[in-house]
Amino acid sequence: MVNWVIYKPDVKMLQNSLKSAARLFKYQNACVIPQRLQQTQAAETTPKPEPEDIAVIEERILKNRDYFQVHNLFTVRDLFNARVHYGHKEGSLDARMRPYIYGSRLGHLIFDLDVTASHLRDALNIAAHIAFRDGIILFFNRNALNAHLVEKKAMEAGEFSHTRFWRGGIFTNANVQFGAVTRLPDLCIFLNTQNNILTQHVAVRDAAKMAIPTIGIVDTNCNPNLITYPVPGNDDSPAAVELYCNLFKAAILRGKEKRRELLGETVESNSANTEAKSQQLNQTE
Amino acid sequence: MEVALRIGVNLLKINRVCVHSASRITDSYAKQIQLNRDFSTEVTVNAAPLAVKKHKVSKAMKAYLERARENDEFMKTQKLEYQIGKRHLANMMGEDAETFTQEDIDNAIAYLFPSGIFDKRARPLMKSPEEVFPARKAAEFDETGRPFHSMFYTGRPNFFKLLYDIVEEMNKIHDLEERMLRRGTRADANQKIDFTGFQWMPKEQLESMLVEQINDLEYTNFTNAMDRLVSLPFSYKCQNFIKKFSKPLLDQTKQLEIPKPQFDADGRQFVTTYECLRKTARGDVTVRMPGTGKITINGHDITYFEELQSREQVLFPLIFAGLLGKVDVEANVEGGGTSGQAGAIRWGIAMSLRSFVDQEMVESMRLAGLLQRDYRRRERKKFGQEGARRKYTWKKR
Amino acid sequence: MAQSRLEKIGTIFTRVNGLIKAGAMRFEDRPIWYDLYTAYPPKLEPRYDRPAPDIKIKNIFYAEDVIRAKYHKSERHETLNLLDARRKTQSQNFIQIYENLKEQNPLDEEKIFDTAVEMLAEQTRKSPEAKDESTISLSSNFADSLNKEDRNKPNVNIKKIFEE
Repeated sequence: MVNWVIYKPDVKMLQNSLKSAARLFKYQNACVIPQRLQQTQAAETTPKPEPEDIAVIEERILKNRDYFQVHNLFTVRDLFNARVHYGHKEGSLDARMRPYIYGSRLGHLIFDLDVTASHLRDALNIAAHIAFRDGIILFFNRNALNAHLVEKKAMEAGEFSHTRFWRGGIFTNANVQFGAVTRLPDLCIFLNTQNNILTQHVAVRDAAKMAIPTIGIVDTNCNPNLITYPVPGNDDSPAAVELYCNLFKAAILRGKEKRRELLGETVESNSANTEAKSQQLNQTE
Repeated sequence: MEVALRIGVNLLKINRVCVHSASRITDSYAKQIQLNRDFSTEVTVNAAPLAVKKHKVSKAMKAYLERARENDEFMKTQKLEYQIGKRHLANMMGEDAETFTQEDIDNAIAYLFPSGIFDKRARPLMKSPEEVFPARKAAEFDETGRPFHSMFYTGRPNFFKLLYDIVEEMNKIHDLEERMLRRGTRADANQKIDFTGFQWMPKEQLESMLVEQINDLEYTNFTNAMDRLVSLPFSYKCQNFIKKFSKPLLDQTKQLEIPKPQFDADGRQFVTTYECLRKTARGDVTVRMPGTGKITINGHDITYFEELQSREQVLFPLIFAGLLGKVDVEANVEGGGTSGQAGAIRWGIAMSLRSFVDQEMVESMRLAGLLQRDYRRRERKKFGQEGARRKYTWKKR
Repeated sequence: MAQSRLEKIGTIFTRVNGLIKAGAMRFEDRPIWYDLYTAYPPKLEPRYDRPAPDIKIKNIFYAEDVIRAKYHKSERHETLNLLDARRKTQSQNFIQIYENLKEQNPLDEEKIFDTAVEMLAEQTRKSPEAKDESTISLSSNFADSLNKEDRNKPNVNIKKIFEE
């Protein structure tokens, strides 16, 4: 499996990444597919290979543990600074959250950020892959404090958001609710899984019913059982929610950009991909 | 006659749909406008891609295309039927079918099928199928089934986008305020938005603007959010946004223009109000100022009305305005009974007096209901009853 | 979709897998997450009836907690700016001084404590920030600026908006 990965950063790329240190790491270098691409770069005379079906590529990149290099999107220190480790008080603990908790500091539960980081990387990887496969990603959040932020980030990622009251049957009775056959999302990302402190978001259950995988930030008072890829962490602080949103957005954009690159498409008018555009600009400099 | 019957059947068919579909037409129209194509990806393909995708059409799109095809076929047959019906009508009316317009059709229908039905929408009509049937709802997603609007799954994407925009404006203003505070400049008090005399767009209007049905709670959320936006000290920076959703309160006195008094041969001011209507009475009233309080009704004085009630009605606006004995009134009135005539004159006097009193008095006259035309008419007698409401005497035993 | 809608049975994967095996869903029509799930399965199966593990929550304590508690009992609390991560708090400074002292002469704890308190007081008196510390606070700043703004007073004489 490891043999697939070829680390061959060329000089131009290095310069670029130095130039824009703040920018995202140019993960394309370390990817599997550009093997052929790099060959053509080395010897311009070789004829361009036949394009292959994207489904084949989708299949192949699964062999890489972290094809989109989501692990370098954040560090545990970032999580700590964003106050991800703060849980609720001991009294509201859901017993199913015990494995993710580091301990209790004077009655306040503290998450084990190493566990959180590994879960979050899994979740980001899934999000990037779904975006690569042109899936629909729906962001959820029922906390009014963070609703605007979530909607904004979803828009920037070119994806969808639902931060309002959940009318029953949006998934389970979609064809009637929307008056037409409707494609349901392929991934739900819950920035908090609770409606209020007592009840779980109905969409968690509905997504499970309709066989839609879910990623959810689960706080110490949440039930992680129905969430396919739970990420233990603080789901209330705006700083934490902003971090999650930015991470998911970055992962999704990586997936989308890769797909576009492989298909040889250039975006003409897509407000959601300004970041991708600016990256392209950077490369041409 | 056989032909006419056939058309009649066709008409009925169309007509039934028409009544129901009136509201749906606008709906689908705006759905087309709202298509927010931000979330579709318009792309161009470069010369040598590394991968290709199989062209896959989603279930949602397949279903949509199927519906679209059915709709097209249906419309085609409807159009054909309409053309045939039109030719028959032209033939019956003895005119040229080629130059037969929609107006001619309407006239012909009104002539051939006279209808006493009160509701105009229930009367027979024949219109082109494009008008009668609602436009097909345009797809809200691309061929892979991916919706265009980021908040599509909320079910009311336009409304929630509006709330989102309000918060966006608020955030902008908060940022600006903070910057200004740092710099030590304050909001310009002279530019502060004065919202008195304005109200937020009513719910129905907002709904038609957004092309979505919203409930009362959601409308309250909208007005609360807008109120909050307006209350910010720098709210004048987003004046255009606020203006889009505010509506001036209609002021009756400002709406109706008060006529300027004219001068007669004696040099006295006078105002004539025509078309003073009440029940079936109809008249015109001339008020002259200054005067001695002389009242002339159809050449008689106030004793034209024998009932005290009617005399009071005529004098009421003069007493209310405090001009009794200071103006002369001439009225010509015909039709109706005494109370109707008195009411017509009362309204005419009140309308004329507006020219001789100040703005405040006009407003209080409006509040007293003097300037309000009384539209009540006689209610018809019902069969099986003695009158409009009264029932026949009935004793069980 | 055709699968059972009862979310309490198995996981989304087992339900869809069952459909594919039984032939109710063709393998080509599988949802796009199916391969991802097989390649990167979640750490724990997302089953509704997954029992809660019996893990005890341990308490987090540090060695210096004893002395910190003692310090907080004796001294008045300072006001903290939670957004400021760079500046050390009073108790952090205190603990540092205490540790230093203890390293130098590990004898009488009472004495070390008292000396540390004195040294900290000395240190805060010397520092330039100490003097304006009391005057600077977020809330008073905000109130001042509001007063300057006269924002609380109603403005009446303006009626020109929307008229132009």
